Amino acid sequence: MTNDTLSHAALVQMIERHSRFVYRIAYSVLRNPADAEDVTQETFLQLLNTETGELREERSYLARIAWRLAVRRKRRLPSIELPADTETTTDSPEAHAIENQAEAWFLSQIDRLPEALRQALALTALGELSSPEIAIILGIPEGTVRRRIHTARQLLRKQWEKRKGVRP
Amino acid sequence: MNQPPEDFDELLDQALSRYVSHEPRPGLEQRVLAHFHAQASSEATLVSPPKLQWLWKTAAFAMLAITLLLVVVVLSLKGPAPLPHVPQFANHEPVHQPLLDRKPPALAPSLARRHRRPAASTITSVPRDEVTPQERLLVDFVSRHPAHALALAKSAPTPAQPFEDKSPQPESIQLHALAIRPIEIRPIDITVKEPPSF
Repeated sequence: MTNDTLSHAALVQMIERHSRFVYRIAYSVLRNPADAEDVTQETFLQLLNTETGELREERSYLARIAWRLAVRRKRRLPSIELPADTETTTDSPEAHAIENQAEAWFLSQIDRLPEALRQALALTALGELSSPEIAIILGIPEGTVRRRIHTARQLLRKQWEKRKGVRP
Repeated sequence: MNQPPEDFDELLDQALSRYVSHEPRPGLEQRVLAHFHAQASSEATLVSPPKLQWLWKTAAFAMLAITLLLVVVVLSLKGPAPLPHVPQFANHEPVHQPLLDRKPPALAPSLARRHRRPAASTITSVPRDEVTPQERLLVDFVSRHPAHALALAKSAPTPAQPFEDKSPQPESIQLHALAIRPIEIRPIDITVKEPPSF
């Protein structure tokens, strides 16, 4: 390993620090645990020949690689696996059922969003990335990121109101 | 008893957090590290040591040098390229000096640039004092096998004679004067001896 590339210890530390974050980004695109883990491994393998100069913002760098690999893999794998179980925030069985139903509906609607809108929304939902970081990852201006998120929410709201029988 | 959330934003945020908050199977870091180490070691074995790289570079350089040397030797043995056939220039009358001194008419700059040519008009007859490879081979053959060469020269076929034109010649057309007898015009004797009877 040359002086320009990362040292082994630094790589190990990076894997320990960011592997879950990378996994979540991959999962937000792929919606499949096995594929997300494969992408996580591929992401860290990309660091083998990476020079230290490219890693000023290692988190953003890893997120960008993970997102690109996940999108590339998603093009090859069109099937989507929806999560079967959902966490509950209420105690009542009735409320639980209604909430599960609503959440399942939301998850299915998010999956049906256009890919550009869905990715922006999912990366925002991670809660770990700022708008500028998301803009860097997606390769678009920050204003476009905000607009996509807004459009995605508007689309989901329309669907929600239609479902509830409320006219906008 | 808690009520289910009815607010859209609340429900959407809840669904979104669920959408992206999938936790990996336990031991993700260990699996990634193991995969990483395996890949790194395999790449390390694939990379050739520096000494081997230098050997490859030296061998490539030597091959290139040998190829260049061979090209130079072959070109030098081949001799100069045959000159173009320009016998007419040697037989032409010498160009008068006033003609050479005459300057071409002034052209526009662009035209002058376009009509600028290399010094092709200075071609003169070149004495041919070099021997072609075929001639060299012939001389070599004669010097080594004079008897055989003499026999070959004697038995050489005579130069090809032009073919006789044996195509069938058409017979010449003879014109004969037509004998035309003069026409004699004689009076017709019409005499009715007996009238026709019905």
